[in-house]
Amino acid sequence: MSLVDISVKLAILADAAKYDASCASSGAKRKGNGKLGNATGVGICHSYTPDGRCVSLLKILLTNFCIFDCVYCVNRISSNTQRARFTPEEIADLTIQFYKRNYIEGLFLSSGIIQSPDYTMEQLVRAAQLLREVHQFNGYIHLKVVPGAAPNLIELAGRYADRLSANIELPTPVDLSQLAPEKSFEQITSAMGNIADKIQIRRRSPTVIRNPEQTLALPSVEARTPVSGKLNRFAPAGQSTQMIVGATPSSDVTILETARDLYNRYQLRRVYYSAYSLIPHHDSRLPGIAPPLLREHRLYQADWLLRFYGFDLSEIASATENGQLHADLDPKLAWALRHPARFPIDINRAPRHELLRIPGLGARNVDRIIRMRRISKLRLADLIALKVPLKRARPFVITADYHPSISELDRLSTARSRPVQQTLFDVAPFHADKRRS
Amino acid sequence: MKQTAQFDGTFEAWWRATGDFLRRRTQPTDIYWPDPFQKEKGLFDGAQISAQPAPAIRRESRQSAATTSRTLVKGSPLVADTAWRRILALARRVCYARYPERFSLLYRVVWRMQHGEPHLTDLLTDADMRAVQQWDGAVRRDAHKAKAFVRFKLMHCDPITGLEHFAAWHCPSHYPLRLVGDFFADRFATMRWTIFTPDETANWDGQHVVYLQNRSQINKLQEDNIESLWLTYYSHIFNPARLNVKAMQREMPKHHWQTLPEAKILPDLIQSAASRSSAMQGHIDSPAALRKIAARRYRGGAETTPASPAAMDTNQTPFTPHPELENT
Repeated sequence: MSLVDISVKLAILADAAKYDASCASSGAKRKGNGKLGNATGVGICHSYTPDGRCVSLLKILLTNFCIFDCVYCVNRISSNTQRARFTPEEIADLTIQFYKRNYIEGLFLSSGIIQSPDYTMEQLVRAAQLLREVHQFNGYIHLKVVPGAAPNLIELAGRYADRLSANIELPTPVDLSQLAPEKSFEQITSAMGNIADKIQIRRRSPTVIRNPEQTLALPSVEARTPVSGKLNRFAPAGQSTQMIVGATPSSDVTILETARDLYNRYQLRRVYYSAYSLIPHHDSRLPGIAPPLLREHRLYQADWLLRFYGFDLSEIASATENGQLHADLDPKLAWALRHPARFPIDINRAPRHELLRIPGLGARNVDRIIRMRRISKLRLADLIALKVPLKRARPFVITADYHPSISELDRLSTARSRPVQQTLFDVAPFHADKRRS
Repeated sequence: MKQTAQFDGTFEAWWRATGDFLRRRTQPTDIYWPDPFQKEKGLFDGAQISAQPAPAIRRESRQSAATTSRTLVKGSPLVADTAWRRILALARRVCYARYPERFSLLYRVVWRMQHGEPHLTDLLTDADMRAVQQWDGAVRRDAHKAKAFVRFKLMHCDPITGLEHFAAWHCPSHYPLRLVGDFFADRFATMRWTIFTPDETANWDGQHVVYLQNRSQINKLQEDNIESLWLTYYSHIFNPARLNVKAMQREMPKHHWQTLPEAKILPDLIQSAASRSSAMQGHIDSPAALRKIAARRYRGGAETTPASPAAMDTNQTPFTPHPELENT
């Protein structure tokens, strides 16, 4: 294959992959051990594209041929898009060449469904196997799991990959059956359950890194190595999923409900919210305009509150209008304005979980405050030094030299709590992609 | 009279010099700390400053730091081990900030810790500590960007052994090379590589990372033909409908563009984004039209509705294959 042919295919298959929001390369940590590649635990963004998104992995499809007809997808069978297909060998070579030049941290490989879920999954696994066993590649690999693929293929995928993901695609089973008739919620969640179980088992017993095998036949799929009886490694960076936002009328609270259930049931590392993006040749059943990117941003903020700030979904829902998060207030501020009785909170005395409730105060600054207040009482000037946005935080805090008047909080809640309906034409000033796990 | 500190500008050397001054109870104001990285050209040019294997340096310095701190604590108000560890972790990076006053600042902080302010490292709003924190953040970011933005080009491939030598030209804001050398050595152990920066050079020979404090200016390394594939990938992985130049520039500041191959095509990509994105919105197909397209793609295009995947022969591609892709 000449460079030109590869380049043509690369253009088509990168184009086809760009709607997947995930590009995280974090969560796995291992030394190079004299091989090519390592994983540092924190992701490295090797570049940024003009849409402000980070490039940390070679994110491509094995092929964009697809027998499915998911309305929102540019690669659906009924789409008039250009098609191409890489061989697993070409993908492995390309990954290695890019990696050696420090363009990427590894590979994120997905695919359209060709022939059958099993056949497609086998091709993905083959590419990962070539990288690990022929090229002795020790960098990051994220493989997409094709729902409906046989459990033994998922076992193999987890052996080679750092992260696995099965996309939930849409917030509800009804949404899915309308826009992706060949997919089912049940099939997708059962793939997630399968992955979660395998990861769970490894937590309890020690795993080994499989001996390199020179054979190119797919190796045995037993979870344990025949020699030591220990478990093979399985997706050390866990699993994630992606949900498309704004392609169906499902509300933010519905979306967050699904996300919460997935986090709880399958111990996902991340749920990615991807604002529905207009695709070439798009179907008239879809909205003709994309949702504002701000909506994505607010969902990520709410997601963070649920996972790292001790918020309950019902609390976030209490500060929404018709199940939609506020456009002009971040979800924590919206909640605080609805619950003025919880404030002000004394910076110098309140426990950590209460400090986390203060608008404008992030988890990092909360920990700094706790460290500092052991030595001396904090004043407003200290908050300024910590770069706390005082405009937002001030009405909610008590410091050694400051106590807000009750009228201050009152004024704020009447002035700002009137909801403004978010229009479709809002231009999003925010950006959420740098949040990674 | 001021004493001039004798050291080579590395963290390890600064810490050794600091230990000496503290034992002699030298006041912070009585020491002049030169900046070896800002030296007159020619003084150390080409001199080998440190040629130990990178991991060894780390082990050794940790050990010496621990013993030094123990001797320092003697006879002075108790400074907790955690406080020592904290300031040393900060100093390890702050020593490589591009601020000539960094060494005297660090010495002043350590001096104050020993002279009545053992909790100084927890006073994050103290002016000295804030400077330390800020510079630490700056170097940390710069080191992270070095890991991200160093771009290797293939210089030479040994025809017999297949061993490949790569080189990179990178322009950091500070002096992060010694902080990232171990990372590159671990990640690219199987290659041989050299990273050039305006102030120093790191070279990996398969065993050790060797750092040279020498000034270099490299305008162009030889071409690497994989780079064109990288540009292809870069221009196709971005979604023109989500153009956000500000976010991109915040993370990839302009001063790095000169050494990033993909930056060459950035202006074109930004310019064409609007037209690419509106082209997407122009095409709206009705479900009927889409069904026709789908039907054509299935083998035996006479059917009007797509057959279910299960009903098709699984040994053959269910759609008309692209002629060029037949044998891939």
